[in-house]
Amino acid sequence: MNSQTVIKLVLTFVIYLVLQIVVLRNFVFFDVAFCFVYIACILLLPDEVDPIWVILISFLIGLLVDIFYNTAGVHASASVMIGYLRGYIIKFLFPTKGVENEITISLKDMGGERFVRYVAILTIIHHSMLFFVEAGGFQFFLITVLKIICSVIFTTFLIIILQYVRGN
Amino acid sequence: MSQLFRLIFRIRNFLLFAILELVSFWLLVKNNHYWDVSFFNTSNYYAAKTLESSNYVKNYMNLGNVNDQLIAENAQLKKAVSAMQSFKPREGDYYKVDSAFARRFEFKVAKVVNNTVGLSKNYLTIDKGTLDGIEPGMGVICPQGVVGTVMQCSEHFSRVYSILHSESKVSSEIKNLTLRTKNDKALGIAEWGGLNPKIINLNTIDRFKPIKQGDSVVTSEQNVIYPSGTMIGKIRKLSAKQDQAFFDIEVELATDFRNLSYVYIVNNKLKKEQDLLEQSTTEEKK
Repeated sequence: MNSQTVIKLVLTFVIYLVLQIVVLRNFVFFDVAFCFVYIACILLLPDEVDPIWVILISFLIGLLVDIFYNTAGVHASASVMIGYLRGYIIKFLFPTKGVENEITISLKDMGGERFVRYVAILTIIHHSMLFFVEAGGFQFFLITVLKIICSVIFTTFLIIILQYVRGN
Repeated sequence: MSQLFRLIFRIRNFLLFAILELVSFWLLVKNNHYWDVSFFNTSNYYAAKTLESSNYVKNYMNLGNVNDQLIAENAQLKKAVSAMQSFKPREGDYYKVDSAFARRFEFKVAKVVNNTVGLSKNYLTIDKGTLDGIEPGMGVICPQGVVGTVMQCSEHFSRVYSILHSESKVSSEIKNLTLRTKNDKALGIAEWGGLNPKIINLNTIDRFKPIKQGDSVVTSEQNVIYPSGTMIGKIRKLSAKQDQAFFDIEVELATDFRNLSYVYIVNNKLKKEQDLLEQSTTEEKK
């Protein structure tokens, strides 16, 4: 990775986090649809980044978001979870990777269907963990599941839209 | 030994993952304690400053709303003052309120800089802290009704337990004419069910009390944190099964948590004295 890619990555991080903390924190539809677009930072890390670094970066991003949401540990734990599982999901979704060529994680290079599948799976994992940890167990099961479904739709939708915006 | 190292190296990702998850859960558990003053929340100065500036624009847009709330509150206060002035104690009333007790509540104004409503444990951050004399345990109310309890303070900011928190409880009382003429009381404890930020549940009221839909629910006189008679909401739905001793009551909250801008922090100057007394007597019993 050259320094240009690193600068580009850091810039993307800053944009997504500012968007999350300043703008999207105030957008909750019908009290169930939350948007946690910051996980795009973790999802869109280049594939060549060492898994150790992916996990560490996920943790730090989660912690930063936690500070602003007043929920120490909730976002961090969910982010670390997807940071860890990301590598396996990529291997699972793209088994030919490494044989043909390196894979770049973006809508343009992966194609619509594969990209949506990749984002949706990791978002579902992240949000399930997030909302169940936040609720402190399964006592509010139905409302939590409703929150997960609505938020997954919202977040996935926004991540894909932002990809289009960035692509053009 | 070298084999062990090789194994550790091979599962290094999983180890790091496990350690960071443990750290997260440790933070989570620590953060839920009432007495803990930890760094990772919005009473942290820098986080709160950022939120404050991002809320600036939102506040500006909200001014009309705030104005309406203040006008409504003013009108209510005027009514209360005139009622007090014209009120004379009944003939033969032997109970007199001590002036230190009557003036035990102090109010301070603060601005809300951060607020959530949709989670199952909701908190607010306000822009007054220890330098303004705020302490954990003080009550927070707004012109419409109760808001929560101060949880922890930094110098300039405080974090508040919203009553929309799965563990918060408010000692409350139902007011209506029938109860007053009968000289009866309906006391209960209001708890948030975790579902709807407009509804709070009240499940400990005797089934034979004469209450009905639309009655006001206010904080009770046994409350140490909030001044008695602070509005909580109005009864929206009430039901009782044949074999139950208590009503299931849904109360529609008077406070609009989504549009909170300014709140009052209530300081009960006699709270410490009362707590100390109650504590010492319970210890003696043991």
